[in-house]
Amino acid sequence: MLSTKLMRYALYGLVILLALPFVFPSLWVFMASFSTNTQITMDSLALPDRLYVENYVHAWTGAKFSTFVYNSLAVSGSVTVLIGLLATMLGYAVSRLDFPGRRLLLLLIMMAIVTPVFSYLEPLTRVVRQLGLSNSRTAVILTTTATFLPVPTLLMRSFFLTLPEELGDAGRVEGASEWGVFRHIMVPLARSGVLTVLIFAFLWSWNDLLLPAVFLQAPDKYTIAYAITTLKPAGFRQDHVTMFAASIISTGPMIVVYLLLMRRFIAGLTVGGLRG
Amino acid sequence: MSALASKLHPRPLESWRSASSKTREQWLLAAVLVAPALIMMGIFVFYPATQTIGLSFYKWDGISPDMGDFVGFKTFTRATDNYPFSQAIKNSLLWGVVGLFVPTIIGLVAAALVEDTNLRPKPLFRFAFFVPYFFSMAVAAALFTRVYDPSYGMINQVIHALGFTDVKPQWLGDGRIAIYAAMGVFVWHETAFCYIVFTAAIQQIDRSLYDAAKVDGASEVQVFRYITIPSVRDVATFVMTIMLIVGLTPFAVVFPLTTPGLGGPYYSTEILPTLIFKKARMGYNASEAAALGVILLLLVIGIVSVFLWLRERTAPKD
Repeated sequence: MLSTKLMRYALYGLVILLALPFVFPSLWVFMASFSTNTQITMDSLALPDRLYVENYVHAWTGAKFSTFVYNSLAVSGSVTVLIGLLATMLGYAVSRLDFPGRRLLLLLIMMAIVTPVFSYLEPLTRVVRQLGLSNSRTAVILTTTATFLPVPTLLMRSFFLTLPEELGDAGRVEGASEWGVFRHIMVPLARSGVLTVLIFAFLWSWNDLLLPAVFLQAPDKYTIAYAITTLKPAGFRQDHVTMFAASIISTGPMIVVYLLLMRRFIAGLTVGGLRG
Repeated sequence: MSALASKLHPRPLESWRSASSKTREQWLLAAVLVAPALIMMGIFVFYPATQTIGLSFYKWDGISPDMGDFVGFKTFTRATDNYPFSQAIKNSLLWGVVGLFVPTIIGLVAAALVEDTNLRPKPLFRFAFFVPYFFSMAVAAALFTRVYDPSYGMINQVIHALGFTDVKPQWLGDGRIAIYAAMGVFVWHETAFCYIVFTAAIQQIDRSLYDAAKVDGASEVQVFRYITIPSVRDVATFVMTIMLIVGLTPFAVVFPLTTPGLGGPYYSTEILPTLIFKKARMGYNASEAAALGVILLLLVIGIVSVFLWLRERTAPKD
């Protein structure tokens, strides 16, 4: 009896100890986002004397994070729509349609997954320059969509493969065209897969750093993740609280997903990953 | 019925004329569905990816209209025969190993400790281990420039509060420890991802397996070893592959942590992506950026293939 009780305490102790390094920095950032710069430089572990909500107001207006959030919403929104459409179309074609070159196409998609963007970064910037898209959100949208597309495509492929072929044949017997089978039978059945892909695409582009850092030069076009990384401790007067508040603001989409959709998202992700 | 259908319409390339109307319709639909994606990937992935290979054999600054002279492997020699490159390779390999094992093992153990025991309240502990993932990797790294700050940073303040008033490591300023500090951010952030995926996998394990083991008198450690681990094997392969790829290209960690002086101090946190970024965007050395790109590509594909091959070879036969 005693030993089981001891075991229980030991278990709680172990898990709390393990969780501490993950929780504590986040808690510190959250607390500091309501503090003052003077307080942080003097004793950053102390609680602020009151909640300085004005840090958030300043981040939103003074430090122009309303602009960065708008940019991120524009970029991530466009990428999400594009990837949702393209991954569904391409994923259906490589899983459910018979056409010459299908294996080759699948191989190309696989190769694109293991090819890091860094390996063709320089030629990519040249392509963007030649298209006249330098320093534009459009460049970020198009390059993010194209480079990220293979992963959601394979996810959609796995989803379509789980649907029984008989459903399509039944539709064909009823006189549905191939387009009709795709649009009115298969896509509605793959809804949960599409949802996973949309969430994934939104979070991915919201969090991405490289492509905004490469293609955006004008600060008024920065996305939120990139803008935060530019608020580094470089100057004489360091504005910590603005950066902390902005970081908390940047967690918005992820918190929404965690609260509402996490279970479905992860379930969808692992189905795709396992069948990859 | 589908078996019959595939017998009636064999797969080999029939000519358009002899193809059945179903096949023809499928070809047409495939063309419509594939074209937009293929054009986009062609312009922004396949074309630049093939360019990079050609470019790496020329001497070109990235600005002049013509590509310069063909120099063969000279660009590779020039790009690799220096201290920053050897640092980058060393760091990348170490980081790949860390990525493969550290966040994955912590994530799996934490997930098992929360899910397979009578720990309460579970949602609170799940939230605790997932919290770092609310921030993106880049934002997490930017925040850690403050967490690591030698004077007011969280870590040194905690060390101070514990009574060690003389210990003040320069986490990011000391070339001997900066790379480990950077990997620390990576582990902090990616463990949350591994944790949540393993949690989902463990929740899907058939509970009757655990009950049977308990009846047989198995200990918690035995249950973990003989039920949990084999059941999440496929998920583990998936998670480890992702961690390996991310671990070989952790630009989003190093960029926010070490600019100005990307890859510093004195190349101690240099990785291939930071070298490429500097040469491609700041250094106007297109050919060397391309050569390093080819090396990175071979490195990632090679290491990931070896890993997947080893997993395949050691797979339990059933």
